[in-house]
Amino acid sequence: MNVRSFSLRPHKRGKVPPWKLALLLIAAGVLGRLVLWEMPNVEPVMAVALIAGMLLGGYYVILVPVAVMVGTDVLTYALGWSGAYSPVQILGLGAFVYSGFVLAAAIGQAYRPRLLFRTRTIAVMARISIPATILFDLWTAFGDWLAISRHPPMNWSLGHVLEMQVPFTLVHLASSLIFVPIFGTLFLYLHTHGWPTAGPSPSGTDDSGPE
Amino acid sequence: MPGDAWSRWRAFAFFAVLLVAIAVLFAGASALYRVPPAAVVHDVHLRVEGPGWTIEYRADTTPNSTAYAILAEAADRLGFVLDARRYVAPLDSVLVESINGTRNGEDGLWWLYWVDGAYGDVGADRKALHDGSEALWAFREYPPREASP
Repeated sequence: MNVRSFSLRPHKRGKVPPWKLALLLIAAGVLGRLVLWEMPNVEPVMAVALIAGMLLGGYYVILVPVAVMVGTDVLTYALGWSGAYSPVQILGLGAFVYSGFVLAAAIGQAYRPRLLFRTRTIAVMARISIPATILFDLWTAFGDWLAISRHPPMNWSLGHVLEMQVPFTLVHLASSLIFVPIFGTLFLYLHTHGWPTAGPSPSGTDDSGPE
Repeated sequence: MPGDAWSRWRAFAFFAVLLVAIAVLFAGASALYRVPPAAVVHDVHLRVEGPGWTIEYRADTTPNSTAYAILAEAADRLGFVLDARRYVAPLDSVLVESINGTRNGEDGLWWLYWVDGAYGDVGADRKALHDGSEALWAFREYPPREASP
């Protein structure tokens, strides 16, 4: 597995046009986040971001996670699901959450495996999701501490915030290990084989290098 | 071993490892985010500060030894309405949505709690009370400006 430098140019296209795959990823992320709203830290956005980085790359690294988050944040705020956070606090925390998901997508792009429809590829995706999820949680916990919990009345230390974060990160890791293989399998199939048809399927593509 | 059988075996092994890892992570989270052990506490005082009204409640002896349980006990004994939402396991916890007809979000204010002067750092059903504890539920903006109400 080679580490690749970041470029705004998407990867070589697969069997499905990148914009269609991006739309499907965004739809899956939005729908999944809304359905799982009441399960803290069980969310599909991390998986969607990683897969966008691995399969699409380039500007999709920013576009896909930000579109999922903007779409769901606007909708949930309008529906009154967003809890006690004010718009200013949402913007403050949002900066960390959004950039955290973009970072996850960039990690997906940098460490993407060879895109063959194999168990090994899905296993590599799942493996990469572990450090990506931990980095995301560290980054957003720091954001929470900086924006909210170091101020009165909490006055919590960063150490206390990180300590309280541990069970949530364990659940977030489990969430990534659920959604990355599921979404990874579906979207990798689309990327390498295209839409399912009745006829014989072609072999997978190997587009490990940029176009 | 033929290639197809080897591939199937690898796929099976991968998903078995994945399932075990997910189960261990969920179990670990549940163990770390635990409900305080059941306890009987004495001389607990509860104060609920709504917009323009206050409820006071005192329990000499009670098995309801969390910030949420004592509020539910007071609602039951004094006859005011308490409405709460429960989040799903493994990080299940309650979010109090309405007390005595005052609902979260009205005028940008929210139901928040303190125990013994300390702002709640876990779900209210996870915050233990002790003998002589003072629990406060107050309808405030989030995060509350004052250090201790």
